Amino acid sequence: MKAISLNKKLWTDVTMDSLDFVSPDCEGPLINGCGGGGCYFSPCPPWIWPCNFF
Amino acid sequence: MKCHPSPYWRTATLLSTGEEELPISVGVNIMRMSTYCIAVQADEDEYLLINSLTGAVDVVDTDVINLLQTDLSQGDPSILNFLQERGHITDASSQEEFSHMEDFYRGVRPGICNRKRHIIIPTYKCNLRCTYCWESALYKNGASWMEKTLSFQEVDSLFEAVGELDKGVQQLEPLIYFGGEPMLPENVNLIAHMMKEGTERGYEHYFVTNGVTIPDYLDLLVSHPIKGIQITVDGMQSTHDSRRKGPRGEGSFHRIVEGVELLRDHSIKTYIRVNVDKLNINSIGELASFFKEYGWHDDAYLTMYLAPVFPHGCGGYSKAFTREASISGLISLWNNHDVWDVFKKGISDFHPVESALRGEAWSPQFFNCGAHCDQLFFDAHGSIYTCWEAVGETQHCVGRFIPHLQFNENYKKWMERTVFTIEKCRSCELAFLCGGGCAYDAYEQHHTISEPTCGHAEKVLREYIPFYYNYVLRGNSHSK
Repeated sequence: MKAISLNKKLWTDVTMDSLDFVSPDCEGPLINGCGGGGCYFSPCPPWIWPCNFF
Repeated sequence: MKCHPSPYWRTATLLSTGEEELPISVGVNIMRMSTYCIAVQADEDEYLLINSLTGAVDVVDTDVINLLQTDLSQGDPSILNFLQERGHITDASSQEEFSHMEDFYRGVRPGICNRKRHIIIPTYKCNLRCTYCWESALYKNGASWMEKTLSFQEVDSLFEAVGELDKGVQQLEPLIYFGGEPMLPENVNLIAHMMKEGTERGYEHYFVTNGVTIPDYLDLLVSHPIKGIQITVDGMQSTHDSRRKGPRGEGSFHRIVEGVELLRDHSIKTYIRVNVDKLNINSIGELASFFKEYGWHDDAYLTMYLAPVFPHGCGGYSKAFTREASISGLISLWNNHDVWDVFKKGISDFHPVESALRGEAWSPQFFNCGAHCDQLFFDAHGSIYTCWEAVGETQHCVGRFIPHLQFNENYKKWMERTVFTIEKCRSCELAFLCGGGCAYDAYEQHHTISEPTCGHAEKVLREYIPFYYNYVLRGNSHSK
């Protein structure tokens, strides 16, 4: 049987104090939701996901 | 060996044997499959186990899938421990799993959403008439309504409201300028005033602009802290100019390209958005080649990304994609080598579960987007909205900032729209992948934002996740 983790660290392992909700150094377009003439691919990821907007 | 005709299913469904759950004892606990564990077939003998509560994404083989499907007691203890640690099997009931998450969410919500992103619409007036612009529906309000622009005095009210909302916030979000068009030549002094006031209060600045007037604003851009500029290019000149044109049909391509080159010269971070619909999807390859020829794809200050154009309301733009169709359409682009090179980075924001595939932590989606959390639009008429799509539509107005900040009953409705408050989400295995879907779409379909909009998350799982895993992460050729 094979079982391999793609992401060893889970969000539940991250303490709330150290969560970087919006990382200023994160790459990615600002407008993940809608704007500028249409909508982006998918709903905006709401939190933790640091590339939320930057 | 293919054990199922479909590459995608919900493990909870697989385990159903006429009873609610198929429990098994591991140690002293009665274990069952997590309701939020989903298996996606990635290859002939390879599956992705995705748990939307824990955020675990694991690769397992058919034997593990068969174990999950049949009798957990026959499993290798090390495999069972692994599955338990990752949350794929649990001793909590389905209702307990949901309730635990709800309790957690209630506790962290204030911390998540307290820091607001302020998006300023100084005017709805625009110097382009893009064929797919959803704000064109606002022209029914008349030219004077569209052309209304914030006065300097109203800007004072704006900053009073922003200051009140950001009281005590340590790390401020940039001010975002949107429209209409925020960089109209006649508004340079107004924008300069806002940027000065904002900078003095510690804000950076971000513009969502069509990019045709960059030279008019360059002095301001180089003299203030700029977080980024978003500019849209929809294709090569003929394609772009047929879509993003001026009031008399004049094209904008050359002015925009010149504007982007100016921003590059001054090392200003710029995001090139390419709006894709049924009319221009087949010309994206040519555009990607153009970006490469200009060296844009290698420029650290430029990021290119694709954005499907979706329908907006009844009788809207007919060449738009449905949210579901956009996935297949955009995946089909990746055969083109130049598209791959230029937009590979851009595809990485398709769905947050991708971050898990890349080895990062990934969390449940409690709500669909920032419209239910941290996002506020301040428009030229003194109204406040939370949703990009809803700006200017008074039925979605959530408050006023002129003369003073005041929210109305809509604000609560938008802020409280989560998978915990949408009744149908409470029993949906995909809820934490989806967040309840788009509220604006829900209103269009059901005349209430209390309903979910479904389908997108399932399509992401069925088509996009296997594609991303196989072709983006593992670099397999894509021959569809």
